[in-house]
Amino acid sequence: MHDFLSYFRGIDPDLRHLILQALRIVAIVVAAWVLHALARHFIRAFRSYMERRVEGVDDLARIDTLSRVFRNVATVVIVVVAGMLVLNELGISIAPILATAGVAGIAIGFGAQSLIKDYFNGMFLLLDDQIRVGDVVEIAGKGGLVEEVTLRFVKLRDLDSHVHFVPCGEINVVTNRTRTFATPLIELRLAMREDPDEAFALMKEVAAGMRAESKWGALITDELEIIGFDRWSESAAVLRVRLRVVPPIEQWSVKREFQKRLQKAFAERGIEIALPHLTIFPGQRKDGSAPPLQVVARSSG
Amino acid sequence: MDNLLSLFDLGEAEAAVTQAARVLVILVLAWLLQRVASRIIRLFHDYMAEDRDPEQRTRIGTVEQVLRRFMTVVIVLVAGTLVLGELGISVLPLLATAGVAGIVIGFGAQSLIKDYFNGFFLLVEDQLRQGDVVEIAGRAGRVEELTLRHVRLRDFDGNVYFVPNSEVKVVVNRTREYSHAVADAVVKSAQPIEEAYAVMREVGRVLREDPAFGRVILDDVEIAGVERWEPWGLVLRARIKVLPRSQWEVRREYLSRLKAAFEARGIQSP
Repeated sequence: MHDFLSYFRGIDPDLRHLILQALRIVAIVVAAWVLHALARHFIRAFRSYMERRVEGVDDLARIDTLSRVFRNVATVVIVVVAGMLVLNELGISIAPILATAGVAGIAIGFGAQSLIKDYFNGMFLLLDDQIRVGDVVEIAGKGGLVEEVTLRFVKLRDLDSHVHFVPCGEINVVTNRTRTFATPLIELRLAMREDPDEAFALMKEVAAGMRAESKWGALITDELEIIGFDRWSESAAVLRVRLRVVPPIEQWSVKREFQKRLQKAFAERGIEIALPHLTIFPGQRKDGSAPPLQVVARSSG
Repeated sequence: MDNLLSLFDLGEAEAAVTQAARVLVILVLAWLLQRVASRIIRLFHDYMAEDRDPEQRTRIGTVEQVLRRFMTVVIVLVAGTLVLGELGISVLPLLATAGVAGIVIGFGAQSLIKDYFNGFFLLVEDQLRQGDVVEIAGRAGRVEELTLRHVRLRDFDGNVYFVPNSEVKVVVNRTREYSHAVADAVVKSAQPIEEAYAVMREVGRVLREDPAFGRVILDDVEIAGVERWEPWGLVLRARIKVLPRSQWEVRREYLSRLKAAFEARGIQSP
């Protein structure tokens, strides 16, 4: 050690300076390399953490994309910073480079604002697991079946087969209609003359009939839930019931089949679905000389 | 040591010692700052966690963790930059890169940052809790999950809404302390209204005596009166004070009993 140091002191000052510079550059490169290795390690840890949290092939593909993006960004940042430090060590002024980069950064930041927002939002849609391929969702005012989710956009297909490309940055509130289970609500208007309890009993019967069939029984996981007499409307009592459907994507077919059967059952039992009841009043003079003509319209069934 | 010092001239040695001392001071200051910050965060956590249910405590724990990490990262970064500067390595490229990255991310993540801030204040102000029935950003439903970034609601149809906290402005909480079951009954316009009121009171009284509903009903029926005049009849409004989350159930039972009672008394509905 002593020998080495005395040797070091003995050498020419210019050379000494050069050696120190070289050493510093080596240190910068080594530090950059270590940092890069660390970043890769963290990204890999993040990736395996995420992979444990999600299921499904396309989620895995998205996590792959995400970690690739992270890795590239980390590499670019580390290489750029280390490069600039090395240039600085070599005595090249980096102020112009930095100024240019700053201006370019701001310009790109402004221009690519929505793009960056897309990627950020896309990343969090993935992290929060809000949307999956095959879900029926409503986002940014567009509803449909999710066909594809990338970090930048979500592709939806609606019932008319129109395809909507919704950039992730436009997504605020996500309405997911197919998460774990669905409880399609059936609301019907019953004529005031009918007894709601009789109608509820009939609805229960219809639901039980559907559950007894293997095709529908597999989809309806619970008994019909009677919500009750919801409100008093024009010539009608509004009744509400709910079904519980798993998988939730079947909720519409179940609801439609149930309503079809309900119509049949009501017709058979002669329970009236509210028709508008109309009181016709022909009018009279103020002294009451023309007696009112009152007509009550009733269905004949 | 003497040998080592003699290798350099005194000026160099002095410079080296000063440098080392400065670096040491920076590190000690950073460590102190970290301690103080950590202590303040813990105090904040204890203050916040008082009188909260377990679900909220978990969330406060999350906030604490986020704050703690954020603090550590900031202190380490600043101290590291200072040390590098002290050692004669130019930190300009680092600062410039960080500045550009900050601007770009700031632009893109604007609403994200807003999400976290809003989420934090929703938590501090205790506006929403898991299980509440709320209306936020035009969506109504039962709160299934609250995070610092979003609120997950499920409505009566089973639809799930993910509402980012930045979209939450006015919060309508329908299940706070107590609720009112508001029931609108409709009678034909020629009916005796006082008699209808009597029936409405009577039905309310019977409902309150029913053990199944009595435990959620807090007060007698309050007759608000003739709410409005529709072409098909008069809308009579009554309300019952109930425990939160039972207003819908009580309203439906009350209306269904009222309909039967009106029929029994010959009060006609359109």
